Amino acid sequence: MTLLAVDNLSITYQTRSGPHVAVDDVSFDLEKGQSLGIVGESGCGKTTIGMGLLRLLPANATITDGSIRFAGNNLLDLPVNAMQAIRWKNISMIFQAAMNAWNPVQRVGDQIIEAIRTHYPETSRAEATEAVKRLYEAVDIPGNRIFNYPHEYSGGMKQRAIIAMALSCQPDLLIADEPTTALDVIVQDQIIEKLKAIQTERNIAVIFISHDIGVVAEVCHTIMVMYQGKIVESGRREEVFGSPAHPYTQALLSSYLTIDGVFEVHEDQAASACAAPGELPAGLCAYLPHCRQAELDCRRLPAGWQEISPTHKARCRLCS
Amino acid sequence: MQLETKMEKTAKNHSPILDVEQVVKRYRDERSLFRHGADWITALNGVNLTIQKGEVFGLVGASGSGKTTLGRLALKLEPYDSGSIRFQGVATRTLKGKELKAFRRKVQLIPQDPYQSLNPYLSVYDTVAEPLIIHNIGDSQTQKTIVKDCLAAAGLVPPSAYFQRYPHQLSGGERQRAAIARAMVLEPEFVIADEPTSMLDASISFTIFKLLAKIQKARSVTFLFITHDLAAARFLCDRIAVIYQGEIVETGSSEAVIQNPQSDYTRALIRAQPRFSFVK
Repeated sequence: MTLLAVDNLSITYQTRSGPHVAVDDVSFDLEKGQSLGIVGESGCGKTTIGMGLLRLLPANATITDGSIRFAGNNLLDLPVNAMQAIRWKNISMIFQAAMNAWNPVQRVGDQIIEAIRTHYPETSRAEATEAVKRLYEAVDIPGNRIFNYPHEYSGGMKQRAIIAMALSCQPDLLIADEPTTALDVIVQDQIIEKLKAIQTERNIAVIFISHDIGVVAEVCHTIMVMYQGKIVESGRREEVFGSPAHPYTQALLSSYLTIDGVFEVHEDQAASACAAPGELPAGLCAYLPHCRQAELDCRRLPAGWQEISPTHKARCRLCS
Repeated sequence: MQLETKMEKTAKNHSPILDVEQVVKRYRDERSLFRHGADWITALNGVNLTIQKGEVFGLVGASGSGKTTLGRLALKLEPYDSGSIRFQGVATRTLKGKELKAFRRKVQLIPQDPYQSLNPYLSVYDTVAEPLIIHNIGDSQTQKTIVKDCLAAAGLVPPSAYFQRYPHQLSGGERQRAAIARAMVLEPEFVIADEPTSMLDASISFTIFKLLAKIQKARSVTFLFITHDLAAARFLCDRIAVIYQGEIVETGSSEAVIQNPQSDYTRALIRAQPRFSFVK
């Protein structure tokens, strides 16, 4: 059953230097219990998608086109209070750097209890405390730490408590935006394992947003690669990381250092992956100014989707 | 080829540039000040380390392992409780006045977070020129040439386009390049890079690593590279030391440590690295 269907989503920011299209014609489906990874570098629009799904965009952002269908409703048509009911209860989010956003003068457990009782007002405080206990068990924090203050937690514990809070209202969909950035490798590995286990156990759908392809590759079955607001490649992780089709994906992988050297690193490609975007006539491939494989047709014709396998496609003329 | 240059290096240079012997550093635990008197946290517990001239040495460990503390002690930014640190054979503990200033000129830091380490009120030119002014090197014309060369070497081209730009007008990668230029402008002999790319995207990190490797080779600087990323350490370093809870648990050539780890902690670090086992 399709839980989430995003169609032609476009989001524009009004900036001092004019409108900036941060998300451009993004479409994807997500089934119940599935995990989808969105990878791309800073500024490619991946966080904007996450915030857009929850309609939590800043005031200067407008959703200019598209629809977000969640469990049958178009979220973009819902009145504000109906949207509020969906947030956390149906769709929750682990915000970027959220572990630093705990209220320092409130005990962590109280903050989670508040979230539960806001969305389920009929829950007594004792019941909510019980629920927090179970959540802490799921994320491996000792129960006697529930009523500690945030500064008494280590970084990894704070992040695990954030996961507990995101799960507190039993969402169907969890959006995790860079949930392990700023944690060291060992803690990162523990958090990833925890997220994976919880995801399968509770059969929730997860959208995992990260610039770290290694992390996404461990959690997600499906991968979307994003560049300059557009999805440029999507497919199963074996396809996208095993046989990347889009030159940008190839460049991205060629700059990713692994301990066993799975990907052949290449300086020029890495440089072109992080080069500043160039000016382009509308419709042409956004990666064209840096693409080392571009052909004459790339400069004349728009880059449409090419299907490589039924599950693997790339927005590149060269892949046909 | 890479192996050859590494062997050359070890054959040529047997003079240690930095010698850390039995260094202990303890911090007072502020939180327990009012609870049960003074509590101390041991950040470094008898650390021994020798870095040879001209090598790239990696110090690898998780957060809280003491790796940044060791870097700060080597830079003489903080006192330590016992042990000794010698730079080019001279104990740094007692350096004062002119000698200290000369030491500062030879040893530089590339800090972790380019978003915090650059003064927001200084233009790129002023940031990079400041060390020259402090150390009274050249007239303003010479300084300009040096800054220009340095920015170009750090990949900020054309340099003049960056002179009057402020940190907020730079991307994360450009900021870190400016920090690298600032560290290199005095032609230091020893550079400590403390997780220089932990705030940057993978492709930018990779180009920064390449840049550091290039500068290291061109100027035969000694590098201490502090990181939690074993894959990056393997890519950049000749030798690495793994630090855990204030103690060095393993030292050796990067390949040897990664291929044949001796300590449980190193094995755990290697296990925690992201894998792409599904890629052939």
